Amino acid sequence: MNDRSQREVAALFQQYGPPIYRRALRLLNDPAEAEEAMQEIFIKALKHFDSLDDKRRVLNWLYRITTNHCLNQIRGRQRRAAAYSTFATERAGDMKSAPVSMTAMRQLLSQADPRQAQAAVYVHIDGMSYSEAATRLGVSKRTVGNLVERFGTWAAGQLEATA
Amino acid sequence: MSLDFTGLRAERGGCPSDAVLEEFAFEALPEAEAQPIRAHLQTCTHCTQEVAGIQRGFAAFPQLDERKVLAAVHTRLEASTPWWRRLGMLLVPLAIGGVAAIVFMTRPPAEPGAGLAGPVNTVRAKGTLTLRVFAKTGADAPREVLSGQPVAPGSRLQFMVDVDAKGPVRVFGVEADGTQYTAWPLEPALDPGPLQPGEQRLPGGAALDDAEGVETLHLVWCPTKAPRCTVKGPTEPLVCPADCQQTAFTLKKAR
Repeated sequence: MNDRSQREVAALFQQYGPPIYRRALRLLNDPAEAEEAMQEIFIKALKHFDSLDDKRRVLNWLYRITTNHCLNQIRGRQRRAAAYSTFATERAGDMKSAPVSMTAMRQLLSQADPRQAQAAVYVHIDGMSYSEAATRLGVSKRTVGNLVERFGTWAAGQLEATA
Repeated sequence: MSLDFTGLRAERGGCPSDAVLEEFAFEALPEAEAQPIRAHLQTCTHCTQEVAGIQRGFAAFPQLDERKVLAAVHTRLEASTPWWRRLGMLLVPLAIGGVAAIVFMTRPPAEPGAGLAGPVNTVRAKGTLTLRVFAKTGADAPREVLSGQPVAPGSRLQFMVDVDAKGPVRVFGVEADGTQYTAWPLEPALDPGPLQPGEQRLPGGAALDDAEGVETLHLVWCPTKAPRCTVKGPTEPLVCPADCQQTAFTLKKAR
């Protein structure tokens, strides 16, 4: 990766830094963490830009590694106790169908199975259909459906447990 | 009990995913896939704003100092480079510099003005008024754009002007629909008053909006009073006092 000149690195950063930061900020909701994530991911990405032959593949790859990086960050956070009290408060109004806020979702993601968490992010946060998520994750549509459903069941169980 | 995840997305149902909007904004989608997105944007304010935000790049995050992050990236890359390669990276520019120095010392002296950035500045006839425009996007250093060349919407502009005689200047902009605005100075406090003859940078600058299209900038110099001009039409010269001079610059805002 160090074969690139500073100018080339700056140009790639200018082009691909913003989508990394945008996504990291959305998932982490913390500008400082998002900034750090952008740095980490961009350095990692520099090794791969040459092997990805078009812009769409680069974006898709960045999307995936940014998601995974942020999920790891979320898992590492030591804020679960506070978050679960938030979650419990939020769902108190409606026991049949409890709305999930982004804050609560981050807390659920911090403890969810990594594959389920990834699928849940693509579908529930990014608005992908099962089919689109399947293509991007390189799995079948049925697998995405299973992962998302299991995530939902598990999340509801977490909610019940904290009620 | 079931959980309702629909509140995690702000837009209404039927919108493309974030990933697809990003690919569209980067012009990475094949036409067959881009066309329905384009049609969707005609009716969806939310997605239109999302795409515009993506296309603004780092400018969409004014709180972020991306130069700091880029500097950290460079530092880390440098630290991970083996010493023999770092030595090579140091020696090659020195060798090139040495050769350049020899060439420089053996060639005839350059004419005044040579070496300044940009082709606009190579020859300037006496009596002409010159406006040079530098566009800055994100962390990049400002780069000179020539009249008619594309400039990214949302860029910040800086101006260099060259005047032959002392006098106040203004830079007026005329949008595609003929709307006139003052591109410089944005605030009266930035106006240093009458300029001295010669080339100089105007303090401050101007920020372009996010819309694509063609605008015209007009540098106007007057001998005594600050220029006051009006516009007749998008492609017409400004109407200014008779003793003033003006020069136009076409700004093509395109991604």
